[in-house]
Amino acid sequence: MKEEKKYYNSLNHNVENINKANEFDEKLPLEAMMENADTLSASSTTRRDFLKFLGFSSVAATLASCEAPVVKSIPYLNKPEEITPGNPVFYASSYFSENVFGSLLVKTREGRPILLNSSHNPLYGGGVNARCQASVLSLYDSNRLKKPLKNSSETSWNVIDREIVQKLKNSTKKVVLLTPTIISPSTQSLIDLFKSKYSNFNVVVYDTISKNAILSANYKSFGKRFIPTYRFDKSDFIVSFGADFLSEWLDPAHARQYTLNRKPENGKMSRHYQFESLLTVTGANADKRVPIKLSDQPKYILRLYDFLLDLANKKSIKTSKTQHDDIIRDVANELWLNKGKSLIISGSDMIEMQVVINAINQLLGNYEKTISTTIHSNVYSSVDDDIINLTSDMNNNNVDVVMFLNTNPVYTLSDSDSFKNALSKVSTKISFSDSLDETSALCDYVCPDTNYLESWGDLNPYTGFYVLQQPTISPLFDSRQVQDSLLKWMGRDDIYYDYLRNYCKNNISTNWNKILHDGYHSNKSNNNSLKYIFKDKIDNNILSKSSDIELQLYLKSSIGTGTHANNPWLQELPDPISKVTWDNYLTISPAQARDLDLKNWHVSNGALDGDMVNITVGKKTIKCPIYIQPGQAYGVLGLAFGYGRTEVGKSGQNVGVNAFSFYNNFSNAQTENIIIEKVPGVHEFACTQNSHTMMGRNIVKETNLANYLKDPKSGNKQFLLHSHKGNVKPSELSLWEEHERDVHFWNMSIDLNACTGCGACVVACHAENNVPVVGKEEVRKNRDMHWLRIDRYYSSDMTKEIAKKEGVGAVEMYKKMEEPSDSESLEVVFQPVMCQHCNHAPCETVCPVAATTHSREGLNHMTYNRCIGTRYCMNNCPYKVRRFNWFNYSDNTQFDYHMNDDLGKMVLNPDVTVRSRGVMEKCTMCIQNIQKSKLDAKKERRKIKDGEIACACEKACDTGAITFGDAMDKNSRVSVEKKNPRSYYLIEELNTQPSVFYKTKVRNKKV
Amino acid sequence: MNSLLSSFVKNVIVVFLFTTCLSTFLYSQDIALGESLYKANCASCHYLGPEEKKLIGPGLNDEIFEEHTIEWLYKWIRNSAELIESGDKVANELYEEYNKAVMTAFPHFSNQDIDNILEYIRVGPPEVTASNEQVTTSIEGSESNTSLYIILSILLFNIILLVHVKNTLKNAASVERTNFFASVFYWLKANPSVIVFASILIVFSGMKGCWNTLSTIGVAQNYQPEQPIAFSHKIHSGDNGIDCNYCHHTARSSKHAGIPSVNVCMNCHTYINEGAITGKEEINKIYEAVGFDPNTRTYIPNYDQKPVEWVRIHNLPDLAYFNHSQHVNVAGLECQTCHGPVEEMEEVYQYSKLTMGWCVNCHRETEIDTDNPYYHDLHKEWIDKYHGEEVTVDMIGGRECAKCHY
Repeated sequence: MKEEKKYYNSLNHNVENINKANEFDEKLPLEAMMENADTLSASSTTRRDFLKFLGFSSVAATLASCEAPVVKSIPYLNKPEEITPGNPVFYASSYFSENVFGSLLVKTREGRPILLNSSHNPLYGGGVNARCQASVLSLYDSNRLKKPLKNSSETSWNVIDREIVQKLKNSTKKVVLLTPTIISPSTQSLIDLFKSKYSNFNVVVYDTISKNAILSANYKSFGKRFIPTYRFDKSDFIVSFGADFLSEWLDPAHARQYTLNRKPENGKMSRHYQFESLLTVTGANADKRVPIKLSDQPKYILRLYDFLLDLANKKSIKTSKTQHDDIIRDVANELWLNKGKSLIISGSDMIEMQVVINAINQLLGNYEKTISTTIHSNVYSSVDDDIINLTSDMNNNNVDVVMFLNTNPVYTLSDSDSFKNALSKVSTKISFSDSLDETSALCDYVCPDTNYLESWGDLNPYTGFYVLQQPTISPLFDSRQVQDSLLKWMGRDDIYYDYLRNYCKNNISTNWNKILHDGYHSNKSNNNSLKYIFKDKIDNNILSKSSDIELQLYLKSSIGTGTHANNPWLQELPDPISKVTWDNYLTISPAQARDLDLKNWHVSNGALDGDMVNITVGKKTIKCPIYIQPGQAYGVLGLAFGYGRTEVGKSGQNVGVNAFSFYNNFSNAQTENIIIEKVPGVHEFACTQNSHTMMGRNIVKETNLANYLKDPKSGNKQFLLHSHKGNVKPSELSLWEEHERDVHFWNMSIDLNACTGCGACVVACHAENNVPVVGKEEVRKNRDMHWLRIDRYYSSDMTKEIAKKEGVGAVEMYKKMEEPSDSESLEVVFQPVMCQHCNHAPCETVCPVAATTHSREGLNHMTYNRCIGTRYCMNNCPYKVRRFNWFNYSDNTQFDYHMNDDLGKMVLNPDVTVRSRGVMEKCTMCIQNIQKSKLDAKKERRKIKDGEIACACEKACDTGAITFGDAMDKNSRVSVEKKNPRSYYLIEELNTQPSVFYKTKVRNKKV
Repeated sequence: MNSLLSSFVKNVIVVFLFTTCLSTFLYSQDIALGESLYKANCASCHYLGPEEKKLIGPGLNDEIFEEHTIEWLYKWIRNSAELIESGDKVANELYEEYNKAVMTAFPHFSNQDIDNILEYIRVGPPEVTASNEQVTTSIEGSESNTSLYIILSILLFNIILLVHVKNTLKNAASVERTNFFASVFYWLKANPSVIVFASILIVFSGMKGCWNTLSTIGVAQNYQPEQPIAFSHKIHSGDNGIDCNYCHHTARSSKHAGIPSVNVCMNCHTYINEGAITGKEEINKIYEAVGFDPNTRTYIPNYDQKPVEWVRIHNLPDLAYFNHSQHVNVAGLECQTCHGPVEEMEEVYQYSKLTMGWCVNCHRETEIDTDNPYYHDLHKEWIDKYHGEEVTVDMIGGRECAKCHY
């Protein structure tokens, strides 16, 4: 029987609704045009008139275009000494938002910050995530307030100051400042001063995402509320229960530490077990991933503790059997072998669970080895009850004045209605928000704070580690730094800058200029290590209630808690796992979707659609789409925070649904009273990757450490072609002549073992190369403009070997290969793909106008001004990395993101052309940086140093997965990598001879 | 005739180049260094000449060695303010004499630098300057064109005259004059291939004409917009000899040559309130921009400063990347190579075509400086590869698209 042709698709994403009679099921918009047929025929304009108008207007347009516009050149009146127009100036600064700290090097051009690089602070290395990378665009957000507001209308600072000081003086009840954890020591001291001036002043700390469980558990275990710092680089065995530590758990610096101990060249790697419910970035990178239900997590942790007690010859706590006892037994044995070199963590919001985790780490002797109680992380500190108490205080009319600093409780509280009610009882509400959000829209006064890139500041993210924040641009609007506002309201005349310098001089160091230049000041921690004091018995009755359906709320690396929801770069950054942009959705396991009759499917243009469901938690119901996520545990649903903002600006408004309304009791795991039901309706997703598996091809090569140690080329079998010369490498059978190599040969190495798939490089590429944002509709049509994408592939249970062994036919085999493995055995790999700069480039040979050509430095050039937009090159590119400008994104009101207003345009890199409609574009390997470094070397009459030239993606990559350099230089890092037995070329069989090569992924699975 | 003229022009250039080479050869190295230092740092305030020839400071010539010791000059040049403060009598007198205008300090100058400058001041500028000679040749070039037209019109006149004489003679001899057009027509009828040939010629020359016209679109050669301030490069750069880099100082370090900020103008115009051509009118525009009162020589406090909106003359499209420092600093090009004799221009105009062909032609011909250590390793390979050919910008990929378009 003839097998009916199947469309290229993926798991359960069945192709439906394809009108087989008509290839194009979207009709041409003729009707819209003919709608006015009557008016057209009634018009007095005849065909001849029309031709006359046409002739006149084209002649007029031609004549008008002959006149060249007059361009003005306006120099400074008094040029600042450090600015040379045309050359960048770098400043050390730092970032702290959504409880994430990042150490930065800010690149400015003519006084405008345009790119953020990690300054690699010496304590924990990098730690700049995608949101931090993108925050430079938030500076130029046109939604920012231009002036202070009083009752939603613009006013002056004088009015604000006069009235607020009056209110503060007259207040008899509490004055409250609601803020997330403040890690600025000088601001803290300023607040203390404010307290002494206004005795009824209170500070309530409210972190949007609560880490109360870890803080409280440490209080129980060590007698102090603190968050320790973790050393993943010193851990040989890592067990995580639902903690997404490579992306969103406590500190983004973990990813760098983690990969430091994951280099197979060192002869050893850490082994990482991940027990989790959803598929996270961390789970995708784990050596063994075990999908379990949320309510099972406590059982598994206790079982593990029990096994360890057994190994330690201590009294058992009598736990019940789990489904994965064999795996837990293995984990316990390995942990016991790696005592003092292991790490066990949990993302649970249950204090009891974190106490057990502490007990296990104590039992294994990990404290002061892989977990430090002397150096604390200061980024979280809030107590969950504080905000609840504040609400009741406001309800009881105990609060006169409330001020909101960097928080948005009306959006982020699960019970925001009762908060709004309580808020209405407060007479004076002040917000320091820099743009209108859900909370500040309800405030009487909005005193816009400056963006962090316009502000002075200091931060103390870790014990003994002090960093400064310095302005890199004058405030764009009539906004004022919070600290200056507080000083003013205290009746002081000095400004915060002086206050900060004094504070720094008196408390930190007298060498201000050095800290400012280096960006940090580091002291040895004076803390003594804390003593483990927990003596209570851990018993086995702390199990959480389980139900058929449980909901886990999670953070996406792109949007986070939604503070930057109006940032179009982040909205368009695909989720690392689902590859969906501009959306959040309910993730569900394939098996459960089948049981509930929920589907995802592709429409004829390849775009993904999905069913809608109503999800109810307790009394609240939200209608949202479902996304079928392989690898997710059966019985668990996932929903991302940060979406569903209603008051945020043009890009983020009403994108997705608000998961915070389910964030009951500040717990990311909701296990009770959850109902899901299918409702009519179809949701349209904008997903950048619709294929799930590699279909048996060697796109991402992978091996296991044990095999690698035996044979470093394991998993990296050389592809050989059968030919008249026998079996030869593809490069030995070539139609083309080799290029001359006598200047440089730019190569890039990408270590798939170090890439965690986080996506920071994608945002950095946008910033560096003026890549436009195209919006949901265009992404849905596969017209996304990312020059660099990260492909995610799932493993499949079917391989060619199995098919051969079991005698499965080819059709059946490929059909099965489309399906990702089931949840238990699913493995995930990531692969960043940009232009491979092929030395036998398929795109170059098909361009009819030679707009894409090869350079003698090994780069594949794309010349926009020569391109006529045939798209042959895009069609002929086997890597699908070429992007076509369907529209003039930079000046088109249809694409009203950042490139269309004067403010958003300020983020553009002046060294890179803003591409116009109808031309092809792609990765250039940041040729502007290559040319600049070459020029610098020529000017300084020296050779180029290895590492001097860095592509934006390389600089953004915290884990060091990307290495760029000159392969003509025998000693360069990239030349060394090229000889590494793990290195291979992508789709080598086509003999495109790329300048980019990949290094095999190595997992450390138990053999 | 034309070729005769052009060979004459060539000869002039060769002789000129020879003499300049010879003259630079005869002077010792330090004078050349001194000259460049002088032009970049001193020329904006001092003429070369007798003391009475004042600009901001006194004119400088070998008299200064009679008045001051070398040691005193070292101190004065490095930091005159310090010398004045130390109570030096001569220094204080000078300070009073020049309306308490403090000379810019040059603490980074080494003794050797100062010696070089002083040596240059002692010898004075060479008699003939490069720019003058170049201008004469270009004037000769334009003359040669005019004379060509004159000759052509004389020839044409002669032909018409001869035809007229011939016809008159034929009339006088009563010889029947054939109808010229009729005879041409019969001849064409007999030779149709001529028609084909002629039409091909006409079509192709028409196409060539179109092509030539089209290729001038967007070429703004000789563009000379009116500027908000009638700033004369001739006075500043030509007559006063201020080095281009003094005002356009970022040309050596950045992609932009930079339009000087007003504070650079004020370095001199704090003291020079009146110009030679326009008097106070144009200079006052600077004061209006920055808020300066020339009578009291003070800046007006809280003045609402207005930047000067110059009209940009050299416009490259956004898709082309051009870097001044690459050309000025690395390649060592003179500004005049692309910008023409700016020191002769009252009002600056676009001298070069600034088309891609113009760029590429230069890249084809220009040799790179293989002594630059950046090229060292590569140099040896090139010698083998190109067998001692000149290595041009083109050979190292200087004509590749994305070297300028990215």
